[in-house]
Amino acid sequence: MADVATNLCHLTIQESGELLRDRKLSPVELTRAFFDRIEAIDGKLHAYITLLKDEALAEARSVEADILRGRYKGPLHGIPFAVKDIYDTAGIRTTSGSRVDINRVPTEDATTVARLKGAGAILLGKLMTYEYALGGPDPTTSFPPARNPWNLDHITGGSSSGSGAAVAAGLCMGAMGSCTGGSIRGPASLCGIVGLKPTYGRVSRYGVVTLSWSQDHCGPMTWTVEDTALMLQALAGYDPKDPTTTTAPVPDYSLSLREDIKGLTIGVPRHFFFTPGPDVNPEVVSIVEKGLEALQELGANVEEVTIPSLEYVRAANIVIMTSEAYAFHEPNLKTRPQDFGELARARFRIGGLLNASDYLQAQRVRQVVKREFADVLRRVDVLVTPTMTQPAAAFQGYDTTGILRGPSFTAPFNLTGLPAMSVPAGFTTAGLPVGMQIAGKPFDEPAVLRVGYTYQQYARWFDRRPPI
Amino acid sequence: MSTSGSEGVTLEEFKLMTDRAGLGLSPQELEELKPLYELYLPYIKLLHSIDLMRGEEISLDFHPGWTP
Repeated sequence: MADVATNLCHLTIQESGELLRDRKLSPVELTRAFFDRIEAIDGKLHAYITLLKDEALAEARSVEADILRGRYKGPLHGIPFAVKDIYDTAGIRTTSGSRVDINRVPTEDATTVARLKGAGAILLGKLMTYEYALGGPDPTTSFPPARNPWNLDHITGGSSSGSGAAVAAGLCMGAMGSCTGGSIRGPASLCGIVGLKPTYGRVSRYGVVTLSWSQDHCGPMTWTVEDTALMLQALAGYDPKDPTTTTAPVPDYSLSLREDIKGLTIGVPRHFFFTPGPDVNPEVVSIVEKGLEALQELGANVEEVTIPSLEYVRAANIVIMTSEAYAFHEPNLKTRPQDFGELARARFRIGGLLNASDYLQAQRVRQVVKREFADVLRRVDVLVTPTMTQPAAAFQGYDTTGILRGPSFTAPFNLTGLPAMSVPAGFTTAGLPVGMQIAGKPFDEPAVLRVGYTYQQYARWFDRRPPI
Repeated sequence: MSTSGSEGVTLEEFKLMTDRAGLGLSPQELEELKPLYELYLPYIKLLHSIDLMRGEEISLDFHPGWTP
């Protein structure tokens, strides 16, 4: 039974979608397999905060009836998914990983949740998050931190911690994460999965708890790039409830996946991203360099580029994030500070100490960074870098303020709003995953996905599953 | 009190800042929060050290045709 459940849970969205469509797999059997696996191993992983077993099985039976009647909706129909617990789900508590919202029950689904359900996907539950999508594993919250399926003594990265753990461990087929400084790509890199932060405005943020209005992004986390494309297809598009979403047409993200990358130009800002040192792990650099070599063998051209303002990114990202987060949380910080975990409470309070000139200077510096990236992206098609500076840290001795020190390889793409995706690129000698980040021009997710897909098919890191 | 260009702050200065923000911190909370705040100071200093020769206008986005 365990082997059957595991085998089903290790199917991709693409694979199981075809089986469901062709009625070779029952959505009820598939959903049950996930709950069997969750019950077997999530006690060790803590990927889930809330499970929706009865609701999911009821939905699976309804989906099965629909498919048998010929009412097949598409590649997400019957696919089990889960969402970070900052995504509103109608009638189901949405805690944001905080005692402040521990009993908050929204009346309406987030737009992204509604779109995935509308495509026929089945919601399994709500996934662990760092408190209010900020900070790190914090024992002073009411929620045990999610653990890395590749090594339970190591963090998943965050803040989409449960999403990273659940997808890597086969506890859902796809998950939603959110990203303000790297919270999709970070756990994707550290958990050995794919995570896409789309272009700002490509995917609605309506119904997702805010950390930083101008830097928050919502995006899918999956085992393969192909699956990310399938999820993005359902998610992308204008939402009248989120005025920052764009009316730009939504392309067919799966259509161009299989086009080769011959002649495509990859920009490499080596000066910032590829210099091993005290803050940047040399194994990470070496692994991603091999990934770049692979992309060259596959036909891409590699060109070194320089983006001088990268040195300002961390400062601008942090000041904007902290200021905007404080603005959102100020009432609760002042009336019920004791209900926040220590880490989030402290970091949000800092936002109250930044002033208008700090925030405005950060936003002006942001324009400089955007302009330099735009100049580079006129000459190259995508950028490739390591996703993170380090593999997953151990829980023991974990420094929660470490995230405030050293460079961030992910924050540039939150600051600029450019699309960026992490794909697995290999493993350290200690067996921990390392991700490669692919970033592109605004709304050019097709190019980002195509490079990621081509690399994945060549490197096949997805054949290796965590030993859990 | 401006945060730009500060090398560090005394506990008294920090208390003034947090009082002004209305955070209502206890003496212990002040002592605990101050080191974290000081991690942000280099970033604030860096931002204000950048000479934005071109002015770098910013404008708030809004959609005049959008109705809630």
